[in-house]
Amino acid sequence: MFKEIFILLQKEFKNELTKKTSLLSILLYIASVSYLLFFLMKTQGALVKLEVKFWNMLYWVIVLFSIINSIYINFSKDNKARMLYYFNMFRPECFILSKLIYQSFFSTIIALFTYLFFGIWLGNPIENNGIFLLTIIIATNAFSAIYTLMTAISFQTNQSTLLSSILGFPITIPIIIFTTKLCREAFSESISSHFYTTLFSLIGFNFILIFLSIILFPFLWKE
Amino acid sequence: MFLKNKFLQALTVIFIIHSVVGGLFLPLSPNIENAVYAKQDSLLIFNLYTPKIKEKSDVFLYLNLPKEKKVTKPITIHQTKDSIKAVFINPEFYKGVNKGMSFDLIAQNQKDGQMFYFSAFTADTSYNQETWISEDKSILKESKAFKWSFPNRNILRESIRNLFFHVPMWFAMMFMLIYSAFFSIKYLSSGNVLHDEKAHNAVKVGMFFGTLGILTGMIWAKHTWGAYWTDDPKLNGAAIGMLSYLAYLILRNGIDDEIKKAKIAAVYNIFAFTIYIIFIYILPRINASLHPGNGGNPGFNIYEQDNTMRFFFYPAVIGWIMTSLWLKDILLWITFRKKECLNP
Repeated sequence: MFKEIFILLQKEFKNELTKKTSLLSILLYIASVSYLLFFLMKTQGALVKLEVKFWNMLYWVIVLFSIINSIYINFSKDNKARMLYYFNMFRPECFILSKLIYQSFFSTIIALFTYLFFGIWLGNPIENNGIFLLTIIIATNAFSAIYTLMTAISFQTNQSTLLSSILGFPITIPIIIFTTKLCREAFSESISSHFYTTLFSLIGFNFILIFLSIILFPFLWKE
Repeated sequence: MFLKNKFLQALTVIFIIHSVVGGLFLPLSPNIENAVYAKQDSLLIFNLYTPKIKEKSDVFLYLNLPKEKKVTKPITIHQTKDSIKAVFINPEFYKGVNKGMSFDLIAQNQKDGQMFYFSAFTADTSYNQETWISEDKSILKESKAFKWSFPNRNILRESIRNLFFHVPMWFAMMFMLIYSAFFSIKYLSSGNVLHDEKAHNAVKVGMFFGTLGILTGMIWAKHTWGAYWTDDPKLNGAAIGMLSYLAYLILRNGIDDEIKKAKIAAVYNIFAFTIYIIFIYILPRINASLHPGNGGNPGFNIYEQDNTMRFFFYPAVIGWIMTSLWLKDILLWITFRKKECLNP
């Protein structure tokens, strides 16, 4: 099983490194959105420093949208013939797990680059880097777990672009609320009393999402 | 099941009529409408507005410290047409009471029985040296006679009747969603299209009851919490759940192939149901909620302890759940008739 996952992951990374299109396009997307925000901030008269609350909000919304896009791009790269090849060669659990691992890695990179661009143009309010990194890893993992399954579902239908976000959004709302709560801890050196409950509920969410994906994906696989 | 069985149909109708008519037309029990207090030196003077109390001739009044079961009597009672003025001596019941503790006001007469006004007075200084002398404990332990009226609570008042609509409708919705998730799992293991149609129609009926539950809940929230929508974890959970099930209905419309549609919809249904259960039952317990039973609020016990409430609440729950099953059967019948018309 681990061997299969390893092979699939190797293929994903090779594919990405040879073409480089999806990573570059997503980076361009993030950079242009951050730059747009920089301009929008400037039009309010002089250059205003973004409040921490809004920084948090904008950061996670942009990360979420770029993750949705990147997962969509990743799925649309696999054409029908290649899917048939996977179907014959690999087990569905291995396929979805490899996709999940690859996507969470890719999403973490996206979140870090967004942080970089935000730091350049909109200021860097992060005090506690450890907590921020932890939040990024957990949250991007949850987002990619949700949207990998939802994109897999929506690719079976006729209007796949719209549907993956419609299916995923209701489920993302509480996760994004928890994430912003957790991220608020990173703005100061001290930790509040709610920190551990929020952290562990998010981790629990992650496990449930991964578990559900592994159980439910085999049913989508045959189509 | 419901389409052919006349007995079940009659039972459903009887339960619904029983709970609706009884729930709307039975009177509330008499109670103190409002209590205003003023402090003067060592005296505490209460003004009670009590149009609901029938016989005001011999009302006994007590201040009660709920957790320690201590009672104190007023020194004088002065009655007018629609209000009662009671004067308590301040230090006597203050001794041994911590800051922030609240007292209930209890009124009692022969005809109306006991009437409570919860948290009528909150202590704001603490005297820890001496213990508080309690008197007349026996008067609180009187047995309650079974009376045909609903309890009259401080903030709830007449809106307590909503318990026979809001709560059973959510129960009916939950029942339908559990039913639908069960049949989705069954469909994935069996591949029978009937199971998928059952799951689909159950979600439709569940959304209908969910909408009704949200509407009744909004009216209730306006009258008790002061706003139609509050930032309550349970409300957010309900709204998110409704959104994800609406997405389920949209997903079904997006696929043409019958078997593919059934399979994908079943997968999404199981996913949405699991997440929904987490949102609505686990998250509100972590965060504070205004709903009864969460975050230190009293549960349904205060309602269920009352026999009159029980007499209408349980039939309402059973009646609305049976109605949801009936509606689902009708929808199922309609879908199959449509299919017969399309491919005879």
